[in-house]
Amino acid sequence: MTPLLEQFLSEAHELLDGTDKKLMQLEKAPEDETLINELFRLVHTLKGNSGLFTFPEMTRVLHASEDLLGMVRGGQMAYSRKLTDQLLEAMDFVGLLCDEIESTEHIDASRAADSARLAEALRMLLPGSKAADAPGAGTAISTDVNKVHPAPAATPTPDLPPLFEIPEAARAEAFRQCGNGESLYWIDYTPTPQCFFQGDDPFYTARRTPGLQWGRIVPPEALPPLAELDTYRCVLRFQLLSAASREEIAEYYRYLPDQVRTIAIQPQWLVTPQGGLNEDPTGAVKASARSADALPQLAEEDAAELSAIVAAQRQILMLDDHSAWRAGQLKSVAGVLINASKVVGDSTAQKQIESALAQALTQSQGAPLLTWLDAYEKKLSSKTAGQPDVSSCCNECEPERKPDARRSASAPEESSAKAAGDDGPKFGRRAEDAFNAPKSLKVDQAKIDRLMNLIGEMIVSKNALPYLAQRAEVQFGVRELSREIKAQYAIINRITDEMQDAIMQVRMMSVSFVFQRFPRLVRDISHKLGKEVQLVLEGEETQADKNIVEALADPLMHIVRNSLDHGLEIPEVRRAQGKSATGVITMRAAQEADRVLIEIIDDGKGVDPAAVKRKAYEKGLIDEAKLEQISDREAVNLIFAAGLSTAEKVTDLSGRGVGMDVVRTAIEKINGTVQVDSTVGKGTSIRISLPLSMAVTQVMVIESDGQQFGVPMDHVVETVRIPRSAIHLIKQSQATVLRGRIVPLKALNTLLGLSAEPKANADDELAVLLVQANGEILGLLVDGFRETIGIIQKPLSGVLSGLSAYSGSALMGDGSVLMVLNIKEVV
Amino acid sequence: MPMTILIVDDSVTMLMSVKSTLVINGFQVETAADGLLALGKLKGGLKPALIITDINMPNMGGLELIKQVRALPGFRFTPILTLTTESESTKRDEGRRLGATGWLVKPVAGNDLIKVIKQVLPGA
Amino acid sequence: MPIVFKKNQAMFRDVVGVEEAEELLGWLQKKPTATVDLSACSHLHPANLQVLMAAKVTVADWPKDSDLRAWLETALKIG
Repeated sequence: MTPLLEQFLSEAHELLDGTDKKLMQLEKAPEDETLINELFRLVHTLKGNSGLFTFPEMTRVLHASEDLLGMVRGGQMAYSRKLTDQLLEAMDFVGLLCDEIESTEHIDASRAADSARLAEALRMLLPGSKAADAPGAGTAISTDVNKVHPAPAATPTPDLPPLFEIPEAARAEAFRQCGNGESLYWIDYTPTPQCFFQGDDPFYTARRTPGLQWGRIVPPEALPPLAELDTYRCVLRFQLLSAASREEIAEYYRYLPDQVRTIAIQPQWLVTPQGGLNEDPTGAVKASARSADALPQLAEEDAAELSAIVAAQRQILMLDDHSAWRAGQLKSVAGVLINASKVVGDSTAQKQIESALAQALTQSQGAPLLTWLDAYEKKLSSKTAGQPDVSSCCNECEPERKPDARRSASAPEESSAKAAGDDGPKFGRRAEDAFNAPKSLKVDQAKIDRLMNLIGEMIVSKNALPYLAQRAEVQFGVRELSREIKAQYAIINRITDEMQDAIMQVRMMSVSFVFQRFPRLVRDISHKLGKEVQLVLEGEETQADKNIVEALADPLMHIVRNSLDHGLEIPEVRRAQGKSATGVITMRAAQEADRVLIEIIDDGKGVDPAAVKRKAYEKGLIDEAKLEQISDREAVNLIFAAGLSTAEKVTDLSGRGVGMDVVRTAIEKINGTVQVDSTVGKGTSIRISLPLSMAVTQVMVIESDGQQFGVPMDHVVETVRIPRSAIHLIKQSQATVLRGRIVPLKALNTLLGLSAEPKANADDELAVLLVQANGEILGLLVDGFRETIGIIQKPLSGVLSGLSAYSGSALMGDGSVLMVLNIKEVV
Repeated sequence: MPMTILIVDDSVTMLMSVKSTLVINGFQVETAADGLLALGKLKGGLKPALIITDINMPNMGGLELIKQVRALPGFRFTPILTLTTESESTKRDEGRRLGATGWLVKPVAGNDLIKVIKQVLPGA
Repeated sequence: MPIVFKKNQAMFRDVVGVEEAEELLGWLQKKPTATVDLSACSHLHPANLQVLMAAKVTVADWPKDSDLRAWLETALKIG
């Protein structure tokens, strides 16, 4: 995948997120112009970008969307829910295509039909819906072409260009071009006086006119005296003769259609120049040329042309020109004359010209051809009333010009193209200069994951140093070395801690990543259910570890769907209960110490504790005794128990009988807790508490039956030592009293199926680890406490993964494996 | 000395695409993500031989940028090209009216881009 | 600098841009007999050209660039 395509996809995802959000907001505030503008801009940018690649399926849909939004923006059509639906679908489709491109780098051919259907559907919404596809770039230019040429090409307008002012040589050359079947155009270019302030350089523009044959700068009637000259007011005009096609000229002058007049040139106009007859000496030329019937077998026009051609060739031959061009010129003159004689049917002339040319070439001068011309002209003039002297007339009005001068116009272009090409090798250097380095970087997730794994290994490896120090001292008796190792360890320890912290920071992302998909979800589902719902998002900027935020997506989705489905009532019911017809769901995120709290609150009908109790009893989740003593609050929290669903019927929205236990399991997997509070008739609030980061778990290492275990600090309340005498037997269970509170005690060995008795210390005190699990406090009898360490927990794999007593394992500094207890399951 | 061209577009994709073409063709390229940032660069002493700007951008769009640039003393005559889509002919004309030299039609093919730049930039 | 102003002659070099025109105008107003050397010039903005034309300045050296020379000869030849 090219970097450009990668960039496109990454930006496309961002833009699509934006369009979704804006569409949603727009629905609430359809009159908001800023929103419409922003939305238009997003779609517009996306479309523009897609055009950089060959994704017609995508561009087509985006194009139609843009047109539609353009209409809305221009006030030509109103915003509607239908429109939102259609646009959302279109954007979903574009998102789908992006995903497809991301994985396969192309769009499947089968998408074309969908693309066409979507574009069609969008266009149907246009006022007076013309379903035709909008014009492409090419046609847009041709529209401009029409603007450039108000005058029809073939019919000469009374406003004929002053062709006679073109020097004869250039005119002859141009005629030759015409004779070769090429078109010729006269261009009158009158820049506006203010054009310099648009960055125009009309002289440069004129010089680079495609197919330029000849051109001149036309000053105004009278230039003002220097003192009165306004330097930056353009007073010059340009007259040009071009052999390029009308389309090429129109394309070149597309920015200046109102400053350019293009007139198609009939070849004979060049020979017998027209225009400005009354006030010009060439009037006589024209008159005489037209009356010339030097060769009776020729039509009047042709005869005139012939004499003009001959005159033109003479003019060229008379030029005092550079020798380097001489040969070419002679050949060209001879060529023209031969062609002319062929047309006239004078076959003898052809041979004469050829031999004259051969002589002329050896002598490198035009004399032999001139001699032939003299003779030929005499022959012509004997049959002509008055030989028109086109060349001399034109010499009067125009200084002589070299035809080749104009044609060399392409030379600078070539050389500059070459110069640009020479710059090629500098690319590398320039490519280095910062691309306006953005303040934030987008980094591939795999790279961060790798960093995370590496720092995990580093923390573990670092833990080996204290052992090494100990061995140095105890085993080898090198105390000094031991101390040095410890000092080094302290430094490495500090650095790894900071490094770990830094990497954790990189992994932090805001919960908006998850929240942002809810506006769309709530909108779609509430429409489907016929409910009116307002979604309020708060604290979206709250950050947590990427894994935590990502893991939140599914549970939140489930909770919100539940609220929509079972919590919020339909508008009629709400009104009957004196509530506003529109229900409100609030999603709120906040950071509290080292945890993230997420609340999902709805103002729906709430959870009925009696119903939950009954159901839980029916399903055998609680026994009769519990049914009696359970508080309403506890009862409501039973909705998280597996296999309990209070909904009377299953809809296609909340899943098939899958209860909130799925939510609990998912949250607990990332070391979170979930609680529900509900008041019947008022609403429900679900609180999720999560660690900010899941990468490193703080565990307390304990010892029991000669083995070490880790207990996550989240569960540890405190460590105490109690005398054996303080342990009481209540019914079959052990318990003790701590600060006036009865705490049940359990031996860890028993819980883990180990037969050994808990060991007491010399004072006959037992080590008790107070843990909190499932909302209760419990004392675990262990053999002893060790240090608290940070570990990177790895899930158990293989046969071990079935052991629910352990949540994972970690490698210790000495290479041993620490099993981390899953306290909730153990107790 | 290579000529400097300032490209203004809120799409990094578009910036990348145009920039790479220009750099290959020997131009020095500066970029800005919107009109406001571009204006800041110009006021900060950047003197590009040509400005290429998108029309639809946040904070400050291309048309407003053209207006503001033309009001800056050193930029009365600087050629400005707008980056438009084929449907935006009114924007192009509006751009011209406000002082733009011409326009480019997105997506801009490399050779078209260079052709237009050579057309409006003597010595390019 | 695209225009080098010497004692009584202005030398044009490479591409002479629009911004030079004002200074050129001021200089030519002070030196009515000055000439211009265009030999090293490849292009000049018409703002400058207008000034040269209005000043009826004498061209001491024509551009080596034959294309530019052809254009300028018609515009700047005295007469």
